Amino acid sequence: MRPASGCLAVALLSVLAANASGPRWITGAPYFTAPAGTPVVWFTTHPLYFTDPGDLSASVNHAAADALVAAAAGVWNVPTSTMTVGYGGALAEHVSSANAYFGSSGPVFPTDLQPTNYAAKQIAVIYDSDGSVTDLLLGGGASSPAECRQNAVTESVDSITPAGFIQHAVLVLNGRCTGPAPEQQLQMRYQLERAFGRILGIGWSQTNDNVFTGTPQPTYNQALHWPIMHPIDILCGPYTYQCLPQPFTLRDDDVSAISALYPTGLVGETNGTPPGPGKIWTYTQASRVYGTVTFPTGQGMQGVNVVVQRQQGGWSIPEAWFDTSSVSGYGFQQNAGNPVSGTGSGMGASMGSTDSTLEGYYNLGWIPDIDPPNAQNGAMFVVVSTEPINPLYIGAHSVGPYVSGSVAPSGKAQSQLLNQYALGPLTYGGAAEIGNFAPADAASNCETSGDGVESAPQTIAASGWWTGVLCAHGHAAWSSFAIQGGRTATVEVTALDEAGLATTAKAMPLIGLWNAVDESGTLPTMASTPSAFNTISLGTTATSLAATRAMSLRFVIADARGDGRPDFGYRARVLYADSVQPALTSMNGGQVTIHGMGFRAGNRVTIGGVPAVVSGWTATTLVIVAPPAAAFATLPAGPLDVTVSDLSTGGISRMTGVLTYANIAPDVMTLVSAPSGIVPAGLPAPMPFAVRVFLGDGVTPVAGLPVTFSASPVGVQFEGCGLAPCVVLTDATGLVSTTVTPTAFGTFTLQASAVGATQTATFSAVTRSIAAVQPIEYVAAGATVSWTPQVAVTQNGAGAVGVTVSWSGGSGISISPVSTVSDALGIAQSTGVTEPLAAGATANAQACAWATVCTTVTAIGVTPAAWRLVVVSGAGQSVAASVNFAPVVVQVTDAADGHTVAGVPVAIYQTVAAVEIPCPVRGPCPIAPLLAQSSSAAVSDANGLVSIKPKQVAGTAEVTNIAVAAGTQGFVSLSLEQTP
Amino acid sequence: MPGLTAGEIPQATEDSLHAMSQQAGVIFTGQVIAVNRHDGADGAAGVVDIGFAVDWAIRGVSGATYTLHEWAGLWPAGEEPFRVGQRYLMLLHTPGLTGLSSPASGPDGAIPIRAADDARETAVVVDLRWVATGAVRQETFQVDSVAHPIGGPVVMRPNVLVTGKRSGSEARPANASSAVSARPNNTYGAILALLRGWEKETHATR
Repeated sequence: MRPASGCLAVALLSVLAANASGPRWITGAPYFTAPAGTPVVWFTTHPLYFTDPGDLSASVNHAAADALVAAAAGVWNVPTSTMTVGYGGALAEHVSSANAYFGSSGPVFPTDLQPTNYAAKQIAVIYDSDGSVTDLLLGGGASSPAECRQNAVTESVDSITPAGFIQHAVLVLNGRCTGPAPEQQLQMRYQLERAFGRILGIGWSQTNDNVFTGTPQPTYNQALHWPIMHPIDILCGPYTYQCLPQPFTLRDDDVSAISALYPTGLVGETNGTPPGPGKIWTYTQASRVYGTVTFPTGQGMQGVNVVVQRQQGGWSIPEAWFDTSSVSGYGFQQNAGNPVSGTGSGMGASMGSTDSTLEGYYNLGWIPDIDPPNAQNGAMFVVVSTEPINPLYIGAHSVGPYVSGSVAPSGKAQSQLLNQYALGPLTYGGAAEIGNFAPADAASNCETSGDGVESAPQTIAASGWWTGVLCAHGHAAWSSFAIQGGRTATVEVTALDEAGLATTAKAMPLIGLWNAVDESGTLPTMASTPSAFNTISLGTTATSLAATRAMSLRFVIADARGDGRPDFGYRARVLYADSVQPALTSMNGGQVTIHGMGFRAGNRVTIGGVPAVVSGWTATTLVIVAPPAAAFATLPAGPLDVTVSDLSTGGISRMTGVLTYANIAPDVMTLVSAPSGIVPAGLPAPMPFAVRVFLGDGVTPVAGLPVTFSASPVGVQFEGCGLAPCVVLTDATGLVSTTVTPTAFGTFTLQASAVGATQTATFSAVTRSIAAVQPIEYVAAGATVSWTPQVAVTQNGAGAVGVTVSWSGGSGISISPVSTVSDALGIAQSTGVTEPLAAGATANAQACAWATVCTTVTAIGVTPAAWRLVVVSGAGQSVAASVNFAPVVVQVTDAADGHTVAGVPVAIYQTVAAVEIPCPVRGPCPIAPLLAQSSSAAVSDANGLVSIKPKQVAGTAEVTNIAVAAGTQGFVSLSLEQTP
Repeated sequence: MPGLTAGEIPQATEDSLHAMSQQAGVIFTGQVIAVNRHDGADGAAGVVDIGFAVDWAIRGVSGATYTLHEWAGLWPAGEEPFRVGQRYLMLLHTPGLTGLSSPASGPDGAIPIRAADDARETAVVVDLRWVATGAVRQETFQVDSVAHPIGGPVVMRPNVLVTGKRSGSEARPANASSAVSARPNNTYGAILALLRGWEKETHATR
């Protein structure tokens, strides 16, 4: 049947206006024959609903139910829209499970409710008084009062024509959700109000979404402008209608939606057929804003919510809530299909236009002017802003064209004040504003020239890793690689955001694989992922494939929606283990190298299910150590599978029957060098511990093999490890080497071990030391001084006997002999002669034992001004005439710190006088006769000592006076007495 | 945790999930392996068969696969509630005599199972964000401080792009509720454990 004449006019308006504030459906090829990008609307602007003749429930009789339905439907009859939903009468029968049943292909309603009867009855409203119809459609228990939030009203638009018209819909009112409480009926009315919006073709809307999210806390006015057609209710108590103010009044955004879908006339139209009773021109007091959101590349950015704030004339700030909204690209193709799952032909696959100018186009199609026409307070301006769509609004809750998965906008959110034109009512010549958004910080890479095409796929990178971007709309990246028979591989693609981080809010990558010789244009023949993000790794899609024979593969990466944008980056990887080398290993196990691609750190390798140690990796090689055959539950009888797995993504590549255990010669290890003999503790041994590993043939070096160094007992450090044991990998020549440092004395046994081979070495470590008995010799400045330096030599804490000490003099000092041997106490000495030193100057000599254990002795010149003399012994002697004086010993010291000073010239003066005669009573005292006198010189020895023999006159009582002088201030005197 | 009584409103996400599980006659986790749409004929509305490979059967499922028969009216144009390869925790109404069923609590009864949001993890989580909207919250409105118009500090520059956050100076109190807050431990294992625990309680009280 042809649509009613009114529908043609509606269709024409829709095509020309091509606007909407949230159409539920948009026409497109191939299902729809109407011009693509047109909102799907009712074939008539006056659809009638027909109600069930029965009661809704024991609490709501038929009349009350009809009143409830009329109230819910009537909300949508607004003056600015030509849509008028009216009561058409009663259905032919009360609908229940008695006359609605499950036929051969689904539920069957009575004839007059069926879509084929749309010309007579467009909307059927069923009063499901016992819930049986709801249960029939949705399952047992669906009509339970506990589910009234979801199942109080079930709506279904069951006939949409290829011309883009809605013909028929069914509404099922669950009577079990009504009851004695008036709030129950009000709740149903609220839900029915929303359901009517849906069946009229209005999509969900996101405006003042903080009312839903709670962040920031909404204001009353924001709640008052939260659309009735919000996607998900908030729950603040038993009834959701109580969670928002004025729940039975459409918001501007809802009026915008119904007015844009069903306008009373074109923009600015005043000379057409006047609107009917109760109607006005849509733009009598409204304007519109439209524009685009684009990437820097110029491509439209689909799926960005654009919201508008009105700014009343004469005011400098806008309203603190959003009035209406539109999603960019709402009219553009939603699902272009892809090479993996194909291109659908049904209605769901036919939404939206392929016109690229619509990809970023938004249309705030009806913005009510705050002021009446010709208001004197100036023109209304608007602030339009972009925002992402809440990720929860997908699927049944979807807002905008991205139904199957949300896409985060690229670049920061933006706002702009549009005040170029006064936004007056369009009907009276007011202007519409254009607000284009082109965020400069949005993704701008659309370089895909490196991607192959289906007929000429690009060979993938040798590493098995690469990145790319799915850009532009409809783009798919074709690649190829070769695989051997008996191998499996995993192809992984991770969607990336602008920062290169894994995400599910950008591309939804799919993967399809073909044999390269397969015909083009077919669906994948080898493997495919029909839905994105099928792994345990964020944003990652993966598929595995198995090849029974060698072949070249062709594969594609494409977005699940067939979309492509500059912000649809991805990282791809083929995890493929191709071969092992060698293919034979000894029963003791051994090193094996896996060649392939897509490897990375942390990959796990199993051989016949038994884990192998991975000792090295690159993107194309894994070096492993095959476990010994004894590690298997049963000795391997044939070639084993080798499997590489990536635990972080679940990716796996398996090589079937590629590694065989056999009684082949085990690896050979040869000793290259090792510490030996006696080694000082605390110092690296002169010779490193080095071994070289070959395969059993004794010729082929084994590279990358872990060799374990250990020592017994403990007390050895290996270079690079610190603590023993230490594992070091062999180099390309099979060599592995480490420096050995004993930390204690003793005898140590070193061992180097690898799979099937060991080498040992033994050495002793000793603790040795040498120390000067007197490290510093203070000598008279300017004098040549001979002295005896001594050193104490110890080994393992005791004096070392018979150790040769090598002496060497430096500038200002000579040592002889240059080689002496330690005595029974471990003391060695030599003779040192210092050349004249200036005051404060130093001269060094060195003594070394065991060639490397050394110490230093130093001579320091002491100025004459600092020489001091002290009597050490012999002072105060009084002896009989027949007894000799003992020597008087004086010592030269340094005035600064009391050190003794050697080599100091000392002047000695002595006089011997007779004992004084007592004075007479009268006359002068007699002078004691001087019996003898002398002066002499001496030099202080190595200990600063000078020994003086006192002068003495035998047989008489006398007094010997001694005065000693050294330098400029060193002086001491004393007297000795000899009695008769 | 005891089950919710009739008329009781879920206070938290876990309560909401519990309430949904109480409404469900069939509970399992699994992966969609087939979607077959059967158009209606002779006045019938059509059905869609969704085949699942069952990973864990919790209630009302025996066997390695399960087929959900849905009324085609739940598949309006443009919407594909299920696609092959997707994983779900399914809470379904008990199939009626006709064999038709649907997720409990509307589409929210098909709960996606996916990778954790943190790319450093490899955990699998049950996406309870939609379930969380079934929990009650205190709905209060911030008081408008200015009569009219009420606006935030919008920069007044004609036709100049202003990047960054949009206008508005509302600050949300730290203790304010959120539709998606108060999530429980939503790892796959934790949710399975919850459901099994409730299942045991259900059996014990029968």
